[in-house]
This record gives sequence, structure tokens and C-alpha cells, in this order.
Amino acid sequence: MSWLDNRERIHSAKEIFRILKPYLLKRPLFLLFVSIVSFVAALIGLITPQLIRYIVDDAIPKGNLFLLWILGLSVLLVAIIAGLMQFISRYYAALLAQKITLELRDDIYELLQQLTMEYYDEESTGQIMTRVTTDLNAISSFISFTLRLLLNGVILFVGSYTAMIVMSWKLGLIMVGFFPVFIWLVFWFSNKVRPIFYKSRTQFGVVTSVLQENVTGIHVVRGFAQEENEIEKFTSENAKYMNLRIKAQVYRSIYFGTMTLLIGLGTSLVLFLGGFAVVDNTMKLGVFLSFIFYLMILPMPTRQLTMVIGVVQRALASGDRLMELLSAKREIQEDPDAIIPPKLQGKINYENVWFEYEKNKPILRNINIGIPSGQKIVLMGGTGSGKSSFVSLLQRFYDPNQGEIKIDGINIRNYQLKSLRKQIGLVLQDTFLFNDSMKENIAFGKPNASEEEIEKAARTANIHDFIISLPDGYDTRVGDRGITLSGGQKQRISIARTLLTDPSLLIFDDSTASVDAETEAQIQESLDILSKGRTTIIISQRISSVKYADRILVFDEGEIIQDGNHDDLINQKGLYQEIYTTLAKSYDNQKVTLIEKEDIHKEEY
Amino acid sequence: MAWHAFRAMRREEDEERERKYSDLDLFKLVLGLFRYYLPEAISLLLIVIATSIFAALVPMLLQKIIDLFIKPNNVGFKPEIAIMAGLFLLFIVLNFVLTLTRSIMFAKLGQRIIFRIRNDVFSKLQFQSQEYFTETESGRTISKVTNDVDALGELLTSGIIDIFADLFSLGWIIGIMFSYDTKMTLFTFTVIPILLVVVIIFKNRVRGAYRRTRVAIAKVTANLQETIQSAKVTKTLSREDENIQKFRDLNKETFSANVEAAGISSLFMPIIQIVAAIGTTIILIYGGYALKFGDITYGELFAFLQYSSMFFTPIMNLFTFYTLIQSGFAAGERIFEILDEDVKIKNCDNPIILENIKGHIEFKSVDFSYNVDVQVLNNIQLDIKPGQSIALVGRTGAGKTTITKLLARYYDVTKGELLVDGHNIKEIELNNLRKNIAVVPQDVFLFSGIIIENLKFGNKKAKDKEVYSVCETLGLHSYITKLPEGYQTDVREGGSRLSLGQRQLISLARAVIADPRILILDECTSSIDPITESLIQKGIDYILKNRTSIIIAHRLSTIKSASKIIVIDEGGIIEEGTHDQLLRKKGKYFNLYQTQITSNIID
Repeated sequence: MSWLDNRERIHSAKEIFRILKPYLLKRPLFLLFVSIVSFVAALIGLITPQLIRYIVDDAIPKGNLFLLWILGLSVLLVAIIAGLMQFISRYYAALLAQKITLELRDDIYELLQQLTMEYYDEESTGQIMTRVTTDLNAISSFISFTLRLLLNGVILFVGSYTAMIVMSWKLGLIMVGFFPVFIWLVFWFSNKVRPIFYKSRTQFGVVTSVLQENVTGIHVVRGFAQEENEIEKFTSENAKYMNLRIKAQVYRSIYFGTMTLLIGLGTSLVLFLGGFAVVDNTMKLGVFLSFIFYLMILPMPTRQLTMVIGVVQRALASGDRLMELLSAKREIQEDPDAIIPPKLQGKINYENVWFEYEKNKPILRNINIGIPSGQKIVLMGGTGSGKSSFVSLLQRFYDPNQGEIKIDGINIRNYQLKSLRKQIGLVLQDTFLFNDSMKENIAFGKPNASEEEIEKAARTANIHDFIISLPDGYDTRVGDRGITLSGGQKQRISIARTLLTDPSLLIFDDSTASVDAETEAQIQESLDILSKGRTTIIISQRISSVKYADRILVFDEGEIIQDGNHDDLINQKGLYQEIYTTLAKSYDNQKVTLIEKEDIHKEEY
Repeated sequence: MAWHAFRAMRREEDEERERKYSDLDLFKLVLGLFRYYLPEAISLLLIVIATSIFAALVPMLLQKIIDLFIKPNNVGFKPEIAIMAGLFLLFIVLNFVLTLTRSIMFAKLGQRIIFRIRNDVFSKLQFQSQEYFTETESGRTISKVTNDVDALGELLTSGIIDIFADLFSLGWIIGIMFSYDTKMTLFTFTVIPILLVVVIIFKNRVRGAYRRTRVAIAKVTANLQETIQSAKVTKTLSREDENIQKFRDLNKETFSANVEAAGISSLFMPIIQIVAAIGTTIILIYGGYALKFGDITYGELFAFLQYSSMFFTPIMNLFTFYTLIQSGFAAGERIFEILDEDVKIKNCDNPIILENIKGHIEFKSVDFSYNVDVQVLNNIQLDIKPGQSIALVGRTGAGKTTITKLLARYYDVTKGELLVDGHNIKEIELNNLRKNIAVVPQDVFLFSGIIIENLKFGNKKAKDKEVYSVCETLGLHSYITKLPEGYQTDVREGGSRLSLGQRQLISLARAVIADPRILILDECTSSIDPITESLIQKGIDYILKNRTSIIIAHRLSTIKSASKIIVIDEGGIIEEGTHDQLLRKKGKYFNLYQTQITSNIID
């Protein structure tokens, strides 16, 4: 059907309906039941005008009061049966829709757990959320309304026409003449409105993003006193949106108005021709009246059918976005016979590893490195030099394009993904805390941890004292996104979280960039505890970290250009020496430093 | 109908909350929105009344046609039938014109009002207190301006006008029915008590059921948001299975709540239809008797049937729109909340506009607290001469950033005075003040769009040449020109195409291009690697020349050249002086400096 097509969509209607197919076909009887009940409910609604016809033509002229009562009460009976059927059809259609939504949402959530990190890197939170809530709801109303309304609309439409033709084929045929006009009108409307509908959706997106940027960047707007300009920008986008909406509504008004006009036109024709027929005695008054009643039923199914178009179009637009989600790349799958690793020793080997996010822009070039178990490694290098990608590969957030990564001599692809990750502790740069109690936040990776274990982890991470100083201790809820805690505190909770899972390997993504020296020192201390006896990889900008390191790898443009400990590297001409001297210079020269250091020692004694 | 319910379902972030406004207040507020468009609103109202009369007249006209002319057995009058049918046609066409005018006018008026509300809320946000933004998640605010305004708009533009028209007709209908036959009307109205009982029973149930669905879906949404934002944590700690279980439970709750709501709402419509059928039955049976005794005519019977169905229509519509009305009101409440909030930071009467700010800054015994319990700044005394460069040093949370926020007047001081060029900043026109002060904040924010636009954000009139020269000074130019599209490169939402360090440099350049007299650098080079930082240090020194500046930095190496270093601890100034003075003093600064040296240099 033409109104199902539109250029903005990527997936065809067929593809989109294919998502729903398994969910619908799972319960064929249910589907059949809802269809039959909706069918019967609509059909029963058509009886009433006939009853009125017999009252007018038979019961009243003949003075048959018994028949009058019978027919009158039949009207009520018909209404009761129709009402019951309506209830069943509405309720079960909604139930069906809810069941499918439940399953779909569960399935999508499971999918979310399996999507690649790339997907999360690229999609905004809002976009994904909309898919699982709003878009899914559109699909849900599609299920609960379409079938019922479509059946109802078609039956009322066809039924009224049939009844009219049967009662008086001449008058009926005249009304049939209107039929193509009705159909044409429906198509005219949906063709006019569809592009506007899509344009206004896009425009709404523009309005939203202007708004979003303004709200998230409000401090910048204020800082530069740009409020007026921002308002102007917003007003112009908002006005565009308003005009599109007005246009759509004008079409809508014309459509419904014309529909009513056509039916009115039909009614005047019936009045004219039917009136003659009654006068000529070729038509009974009751037939004439019920004819008018059927005409008055017509607006309802036309409205319903128009509604179906709306619901279907929304469902298609939403389905399209759902499809994008459903067809998004799932995470690297593991071998069917993947092994569950025993407690890993932590020996790491990168062999000829190449990696790129975008084609022909390699982030890592031919990395060859072996890390014996228990070593502490610091990765250094500028932004974009490949440090973070290096560790991301180890956790299999991504797979290398070429080469192999081995832990304890076995390619990490052969390990079961989850078990592998469980043994690698990652302390992230951007600490995420949940809107939950301290206890639950620390136990996130080990939900069944005992209170003693949690406390022990917190003590080691140097955050226990802080937590018990809080009003509810370990039950204190972290404000949304950890707003109430300082950077250092969040960091230490995150360290406790990692500590609790007792990983064999540890990756510490430097986040001390904007932490003051004291907090940094505290974190450093915790890190020291955490890394004891574990292979540890630390990404850092700071020379301070190298003090604890057995070995330093310096990255530049995707390659490891220097490899060795501090003493080796400081005497080598290269990036490390350069970084070191720059830093040293920035803190005056070492002579001053040394003198003052002695002073500290004196103070201590 | 269906899609109103569907739209209503989108209102999922309705959470349980104390209501500030009663339904009546909200109704008044919503109605009050029409005041800006009074002539349109009044003419619309007139048309609504006119169409309602028309609607009520149609069955009467049909009745007249049936009774006067259409009688079996040749007592009817053919020519008159033709005339009346023509009259009816005219009636229909007139009605068409009126209805069309009504809905188009309403569409325009409604959309204009929505446009206005959205603009008002947006404008209000520009001047909303900074507390509002720290306390409210940005997502929630955005949803107010988008979803809530939409929900309110939905209420204003869809169908509600028909309900108004229907309710108007109700008056005419009752009048006409009584004029036909008092007894029959009274008989028909015996269903009204049944109707009332049904409506009352359902009203509260439906409200409760929908509220439960909203609470349930709000939980799902919150869980979902956390899941998406914590994807990486989940993956590293392999929490997938537990997450799925937790989500399933919440999802199941939503399911049950929705099924319950569906049960109640599916029941309502059929019940009303049955009640309406009772009315019809009464009319038919009573009408049958009355016809027999010649009390009424066929046409009147027909008209009665029509009127009774017209009587039930608005009631059914009201119910169909119930969820729409509810969510519209809830949305309205959240919108009015923003609109009604006081703007805390605003211009005083007759604000001063300073033509050439020299950049003399004085803090006189300034105290500050965000909320009453916690004092953030304590008796700050500072005198920064024009052109001086001041560094603020201290641990995280000591109050350094707060000092800069007070200066840009994001907040007003709790006690004391803050002067710029000898004027209390509360007396200086806000835009004038802020245009002369640029803060380069710790968390960089870039707008989506091309680099050059971002750079010109604070000074739309800046010439490209000026922009390039600033970028060159900061060592940024060569980097930008290396990009495939150079200054025309789209940085995408939040500047995600650039590294953090690059974003910081752009943010710094943007502030310089705005050419403020007072420049505040808050940890603005923290993500730039040390080598680059040392390279741009000269550029920064150059930029700070002839400007009053306040620099906050943890890397003490970057602030040694400041004319004065202020050490802040727990909201108060504990030391001040030059780098050398403070080192000699061997106090807090000395210790901080030592800690950093030992952590950065190994012997």
C-alpha cells in the first residue's frame, strides 16, 4: 500500500513486521480469538437500526405492544452483548499487546547487554532510551489498536453499505457511488500528511538538540552572555516546527470536514429520493429511518480507519528505529567450545596486533609485547597514541583486526568472554556510580558478597572511614550519578568495587588528571595495595606513577616506541626523556628540589 | 482515539509526587494561556457556540422533514421534500464551512500557544538560577520543554475542542428535548444517575491504575538509563545476568500495571454504551406507546433517538481523553513550576553599564553557602588590581571554583560585597558584566557544529583572521588546519570528535576570542599532556597580558609566574604571596609543592 512507503525509512515495512512475526505467531489461538471477538462485536453493532426499522414499520402501526417491548428490549440485549464483546476484544487486544511488549522489552534489554562498546560509544543515551520506551510503546499500540480497529472499521463500513443495499438497492447504489471518493480522500490525506509528519519529526529533533545543547552548556552560554542569541536561535527552530504542525492540522481538518460533508451530502440525497419513495409508498418509513441511521454510522469507521493509518505509520517509524537497534552488531561472540579459564597467572602476549576503528586509520600498528605475570606496567604517551585501545583489546571490548592476544599462552578468543572479564579488573577513567547504597555499589561485580568482604575491600581502598562517617553508613545512597561525592571518593569506591572481585589482572585507566596532589597520593597508595601480586597495567600522564612500575611502555601513533624501566629510559634519547625533562623543568631545577627535599627530612626528624 | 491513548502512554516519566497545584488551579493556568490571543480566542469561542447550535439543530430539521412532508400513502408533498432536502444540504455545507474554520483556527491558536509556552520555558531557563541546573538532571529539564510541552499541546489541539463544542450542545439538546416532550425527556434522563455512578466509580479506579503504570514505567526508564550509562562497568564486571534479572522484575511490574489499567479502561466504554442503550430502549418503548396515542410523531421519535446518542457522546469522549487530560495537566504542572520559579540572579533597577571595564576586582568579607548548612566560603578578602594575574591553589573542594562562580555572578554572595571597578556587581548590568568576564571551565563544553562557530561563540562578530591569530598563539592553528575540513570541521555533539585536550584548547581559545577584560582559567589545561602544556604556556602568558586573570591549577608548575598566589583551604584564605615568598614561608603551599615534586621527579 502506498501509505506504507516512505523515503525516510531504511527498512521496508515487511522487514519491520518480521520483528513482530515470531511474537504474534507464538500465540495463534489468542490472535484468532481476538479477531473473532472483534469481528462479532462490530457485526452486532449493525443490528440496532434494523430493530428500529421493525418497531416503526411493524410494531407501532399495528399497535402490537408485545412486539414493541420485545424489539425495544432487544435493543438493550444487543447493546449488552455488543458491550461484552467489545470489552473482551479491547481487553484481550491490550493483553496481547502488553505480553508482546513485555517479551520484546526483555529481549531488547538482553540485547543491550550484548551490544558492542562501539554502539555505546556512538549512540547517545537518550537515543537508546527512546527506542526501548517510546518506540516500543508505538509498536505496542500498533498491536492493540490496529487489528481491532481495522476489523471494526471494515465491518462497520461494509456492513452499513450491505444493509443499505439490501434494504433499497437503488438508494444503496447511490451511496456506493460515494465509496471511491471516500477511498480517494483517505489516500489524499495520508499522502499529504506523511511528508509533513516526517518533516515535523525531524524538525522536532532539531528543536530538541538545540535545547539539549543549551541546557548542558548553560554555563558556557551564561559565561559569554549569549542568552539572547540562544533564544533567537531556539525561536526560529521552534517557529519552523509550529508551522509544520499547523500545516498538518489544517490538512487533518480539511480531511475530516470533507468526510462529514460527503456523508451529509449522502443524507440529503437519501432525504430527497427516499422521501419521494416513502410518499410514493415504494419505501416504508422504518426502512427510510434505518437508512439514515446507517448513514450516521459511517463517520465512525472512517475515523477508525484513518486512525489505523496513523498508528501504523508511527509503528513503522518506531519499528525502523528498533530495527537499527536489533540489527546493531552484537558483541564479539565466543567460540562454542570456549574454555572457562582457571585462576589466571596473568602472563600477557600481544603478537603482531593491528587494530583500527575506522578503515585505514590504524590505532595500533603491529604491537609485539610480552608481559610476564605479576609485572607492573605503566603506559605513557599523548592522547590518541593508542594506550586506551591497547587495554580495551585485552578486555575484548574490541577484537584486533590482525594478530593475537594471549593470556597465559592461550588466545583470549578461546576463553569464555564473561569469565575472562571477571578476572580482569578495570578501574575506569570515568567512574560510574549507581543510584544505590554504598554497599550495593561496592558489591556491583559480586552481588552476593558478605558484609565483611565489602568492608574489607572498602578499608583497603581507603574509603571505609568516609563511608561510616555518612549518616547511614554503608546503606547511604549515592546521589544520582555520584554527584554528592568528590572525584577522589568516587574513585576509591570504584577501586573497592574492583578489589572485591579479586581480579587476576588489573587495569587502571588514569583518572587523576583533575585531582589534587593529596587525593592523588591517596589513590596512588590504594593502587599500590590493589596491584600487589597481580599483573597491573596503568595508563598515566604522570611521572609519579612510574615510581611503582617495573616497566614503562611509551606509545606514539599506535606503536610502542620505548620499553624499559625508568633508569633505562631516562638515559635514552626519546619521548620519555623529553616528557621527564619538561616536567622537571617546570618544577624549577632538580638542585632546588633536592635541597628542599632535605628540608622535609629535617622537619620529619 | 487510539492515538491519544497512545500519546498518553508516552508520558512515562510522570512520577509520583506531591502536587503543588490543584486541578482547578491548573485549569485556570491553562485557560490563562489564551489571554495572549484574546481576539482569536473570542472569535473561536463564538464559532464553537455557533457550530454547537448547528449540531443540535440537525436532528430537529430531520424531524421537521419527516413529520411535515414524508408521510406514506400520498399525503406527502414532493416539491416541499425537494426544497427541504436542498435546505438540509445548505445546512450541511454551512456546517462544513463553520467546522472547518473552527478546526483550522483552533489548530493555529493551539500551535501558537504551544510555540509560546516552549519559547517562554526556554527563555526562562536562560535566566534560571544556577542551583536549578545543578539540582536538576539535564534530561529532566529537556523533557519538560519537549515532552511536557507536547503533552500540554496535545491537550490543547486534539479533540478537546470537540468536547467543548459537545458540552455546549448539551445545553441546547436538553432544552430541545424538553420542548418536544417533557415526560419522555424525564424518562430518558432516568439513566443519568446510573451514568453518574459509573463515572464516579471509574474515575478513581482509572486514575489509580494509570498512576501505577506511570510509576512502573518510570522505574523501568530509570533502570534503563543506568544500564546504558554503565555499560562499560557492567561489561568489565560481568554483571549482565543479574542486570537482566533485575530488569525482568521491573518490566513484569509494568506489564501487570498496564494489564490492570487495560482491564478497567476496556470496561468503561462498553458500560457507557450499555447505559446509552438503556436510554434508547426507554425512548423506543415509551415512544411506541406515545406514538400509538398520538402524543408524538415519527419525526420526534427519530429526533429523540438522535439527541440521546448526542447526549452520551461527550461523556464517552471525555473518558477517551481522560488520560490525555491527566497527562496534559501533569505536564502543565511541571511547566508552570519552571515558569513560576523566581529568577534569583537578575538585574537590579537601573543597572550600571560599564563602558570600559578595567578589571579591578575586590572581595570584601565574602561569605557564601549553597545551602544553609554548609558554609563554602568564609570571609574572603581579596584585592586584584587591573592586569594582575592571581592563582588560586588548594585541594579539591576547597572553594576555588566557587570564587570564580561568584565573580561571574552565577550565584550571589551570602554575606559581604564583591566589587568590579569599585561597583558592587549586583548593580552592574548582568550581560555587561558577563561579557567582560570569561570563565574557561574545568569541564569543557563544545556545541555541535563547526569549529569556527564554536570559537566565535562568545563574539559572533570576530573576524576569521582574529580567530586564526588566537589559535596560532595557543598552538592550535596548525592542529586545526591539519584536519580534513580545517576550521569547518564539525565537532559533533559535545565535541566528541576531538580529544579532551583539544577540546580544552578550543574552549580556551573561545574565551580569548570573546576578548574579556577578566579571564578565569579553571583547571583548563588539566587534560593536556605536559609537553603540549609547556609549549602553550608562552601563548597563555601572552594572552594574559593586559587582562586581569584568575588561574586555578593543580599542577603548580603552571602558576609560578602569577603575580600572587592565594592558598585556599576549607573556604578561607590561609596564605598569599608570590611563589618565592610562599616557598620561603614553608607553609601549606610549600607542602603542596613538595608533594608534587616528589611524585613527579625521581632521583
